[in-house]
Amino acid sequence: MIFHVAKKEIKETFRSGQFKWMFGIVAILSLVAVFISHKHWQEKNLQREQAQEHARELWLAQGATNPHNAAHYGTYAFKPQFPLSLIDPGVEKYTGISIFLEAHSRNEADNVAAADQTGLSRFGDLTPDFILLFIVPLMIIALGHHSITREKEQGTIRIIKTQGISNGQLVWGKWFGNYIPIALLTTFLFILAAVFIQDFNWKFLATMWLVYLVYFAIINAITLVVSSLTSNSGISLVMLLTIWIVSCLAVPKIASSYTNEKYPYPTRQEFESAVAEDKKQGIDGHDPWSEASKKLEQETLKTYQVNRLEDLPFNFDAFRMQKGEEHDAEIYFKHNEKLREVYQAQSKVYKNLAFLSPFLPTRFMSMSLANTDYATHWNFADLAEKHRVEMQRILNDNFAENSKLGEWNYRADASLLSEVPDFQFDAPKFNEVMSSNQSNLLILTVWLLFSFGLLFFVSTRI
Amino acid sequence: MLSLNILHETRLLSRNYWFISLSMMLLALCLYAGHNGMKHFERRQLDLQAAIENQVAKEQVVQEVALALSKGEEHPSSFRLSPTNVAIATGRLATMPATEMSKLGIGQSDLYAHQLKITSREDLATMSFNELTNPVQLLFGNFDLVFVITYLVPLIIIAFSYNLRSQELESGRLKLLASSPIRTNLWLLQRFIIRCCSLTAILTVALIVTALWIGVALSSQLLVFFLITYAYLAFWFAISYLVNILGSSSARNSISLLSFWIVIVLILPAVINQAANSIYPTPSRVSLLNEIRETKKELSEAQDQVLDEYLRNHPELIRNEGENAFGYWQGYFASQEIMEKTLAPLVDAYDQQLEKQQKWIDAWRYLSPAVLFQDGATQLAGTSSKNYNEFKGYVKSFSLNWRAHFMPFVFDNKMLDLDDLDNIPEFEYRSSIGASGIWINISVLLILSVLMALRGLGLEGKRQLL
Repeated sequence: MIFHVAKKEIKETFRSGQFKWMFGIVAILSLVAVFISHKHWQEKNLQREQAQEHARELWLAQGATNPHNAAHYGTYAFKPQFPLSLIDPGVEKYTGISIFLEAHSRNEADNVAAADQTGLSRFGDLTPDFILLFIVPLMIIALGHHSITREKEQGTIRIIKTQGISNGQLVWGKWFGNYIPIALLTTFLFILAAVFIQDFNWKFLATMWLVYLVYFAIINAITLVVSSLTSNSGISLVMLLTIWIVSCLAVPKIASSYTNEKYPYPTRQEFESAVAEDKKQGIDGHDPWSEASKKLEQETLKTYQVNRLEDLPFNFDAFRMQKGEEHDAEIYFKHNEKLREVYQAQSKVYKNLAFLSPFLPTRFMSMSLANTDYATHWNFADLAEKHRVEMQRILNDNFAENSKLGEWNYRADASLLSEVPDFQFDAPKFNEVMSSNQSNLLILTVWLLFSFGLLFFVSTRI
Repeated sequence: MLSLNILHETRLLSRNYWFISLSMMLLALCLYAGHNGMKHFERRQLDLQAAIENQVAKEQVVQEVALALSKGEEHPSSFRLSPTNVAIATGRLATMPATEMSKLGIGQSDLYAHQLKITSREDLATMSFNELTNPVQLLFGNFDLVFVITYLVPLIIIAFSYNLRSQELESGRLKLLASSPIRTNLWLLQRFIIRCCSLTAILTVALIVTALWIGVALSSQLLVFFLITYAYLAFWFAISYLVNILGSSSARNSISLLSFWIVIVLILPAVINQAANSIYPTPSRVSLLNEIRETKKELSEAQDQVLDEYLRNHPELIRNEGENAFGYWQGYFASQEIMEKTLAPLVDAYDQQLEKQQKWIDAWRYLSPAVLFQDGATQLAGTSSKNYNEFKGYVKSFSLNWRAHFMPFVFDNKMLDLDDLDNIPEFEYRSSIGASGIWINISVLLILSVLMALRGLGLEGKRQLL
């Protein structure tokens, strides 16, 4: 019976002019979104690959040079563009993509794309995730808001019931009838994106596809719940749109405003001042006269049981430089950990508020699977810092071991530069992504069970 | 007919629980959005205050050293008066204070920094204007008054008016009305105008209560904000009026109006923005990074020639102290200027593309009244892209002046004294963005509303009453 109802619904849907228009518009928007996203993705990918290669070439082209000069010359770490960012660019537009790795300073990621765009970009971009997260739910509402109310308004519900169908069978038949065209459209969009992306990990893509199917299943169930509870299609539509606006637009914005008020980030100026203040308290690699440097000098002389710095078996200038570097790294670590605490507190609020709307867990899981979420950006920044610290250690050690005190014109062999490894940032593994998204998965499952439970409940009340 | 209509509508509205509850909801939404705007404003002010205090403390230290030296005393930190120390370590703070109107629309203010330390070491090509923010917040946006009016108020209008004619048509009363000696479309227009005035009054009360609560003083800008809000409201009532006349059933009207909402508020802004980015793509910033490094390297390898070239361009800085009079910093600043000149075409390309994107959006914004409203409202709030581009321009220009001011001291190897400290350039940002663009937006919204109303009236007797 469910099958018959679903078949009739699908047939009716495909026959309706309204559906043809809607489907046509959404299909065209999807094609345009995938095509444009692919074009931009390819351009950006090429730019980043070339920039990464060029940065390495420039680094190696320094030739024989003083290791500390090389440390100041520095290099760049570029965040790679992951394949599924074509479907969901996530927060990429708002995070920087390159970090300058140099001596004494941990730099923040820069080159924020949103800063090179107009204010209109805050309305959103025409990308596949925009269609999946905002437009497809609207399509589900437009198709399903009158599924049951129409039968009530036209009086056909009594005729249907005389056929021996139970309320449950009718509602589930309607659910499938409304869901199958949407599932087909979603699958079409993912296949289209997969054809364009080509090189991707199917596990991530398939999971993302499933997450969206679950999201649409929830919206479809809520749509039918409202349609079953109301007796007028207009009221059903207004109610469903209110739910859509609250879930997809209002709740994320409220969550954002609330989080910002409760756990604000320091301003960049505040953050940099605090770091600079702390840095002053310790060893500055370039300042041999400071109290901290003098203390280090005395301690080193005592450890090596010599009276003069010249008698040390290494270049004390470079040794002090390394100690200064370690001190700076500790300070940056401390302040970034504070920042991380704020970020984690904010993330916790977002996770808690995700119960308010199925949009939020879907949004977070989608970004996470596309490796375009904020957590991936933090991993990138952490790895870049680790790379910077290691780079400084290699350079300072070489300087200390191969030169004498005051020998600032020392030049290390060009081979030293290749000892510093090329920066490499890989996407997290599938299991890591899934385990970091346990709460989102749980919330999405709760939403699915809740909406289905509600649908079972209302099916007894038609 | 008008007075009867007013009486009838007022009675209907006062007995309509939806209207009363939606009005209460509107007030609650405005208050909550206003609260968010106020908190954002307060935080901006506190951050600004903290940054200013921090800067004043730094400048105070330099002043104290200068004062001691001017009295002929010795000071262990006399190095603080070196031009490089004042120009780089002390620097100047460039600030963009928040206006009271920014409580109404957060706009781009969560993306950009409002206090930047200007130092002579900063390269224009790599200057960053971004604030430290959780990007998820930027992605979701803020729940402010501009959001409430742009997105939510049109839906309230739709809910209030989608069935004003179709309800009469469906119940058969419209035929009865048509048999009376009145023009039904004029009668309908009057109902729409009465409803529009009622909602305008409620929104005005809600906005005034919010403005009083969050502390936005009455100003010409606030009045213009009210005007653009009214014009936006008028547009949505007008489109609903036309749909009512053309539509044959309440269900169809609601679908049509909501489709318009989706297209105007969601799809068109995204399409216009995407088109702007595709037609005028911003050049690659990542490629620029390597260009900068390469140029810097070349200049550092040819330091002597760089200094010679720089002095040829700045003969006023030449001193008769022999070739070796100039050291690291002179070479550094000379390289910096030459590097900026070399990279200027590349750096300017970004600003030019952004300008072209803005022009494209300015030209196509008329397609979406939501964009017209948002553009005007954020400009009034001082948080639009235009405001931030203007601020960036001020900062870049001040940065050049700041550096130029210290060059004679650097090349003279001269320490600064108390008088020199008094003559250091001050940063001042004054927005000169006029309201002409906003008046155009208001006019377009009103013209569209009037045209739709006239079209509706022109269809009198041309629609079936079945």
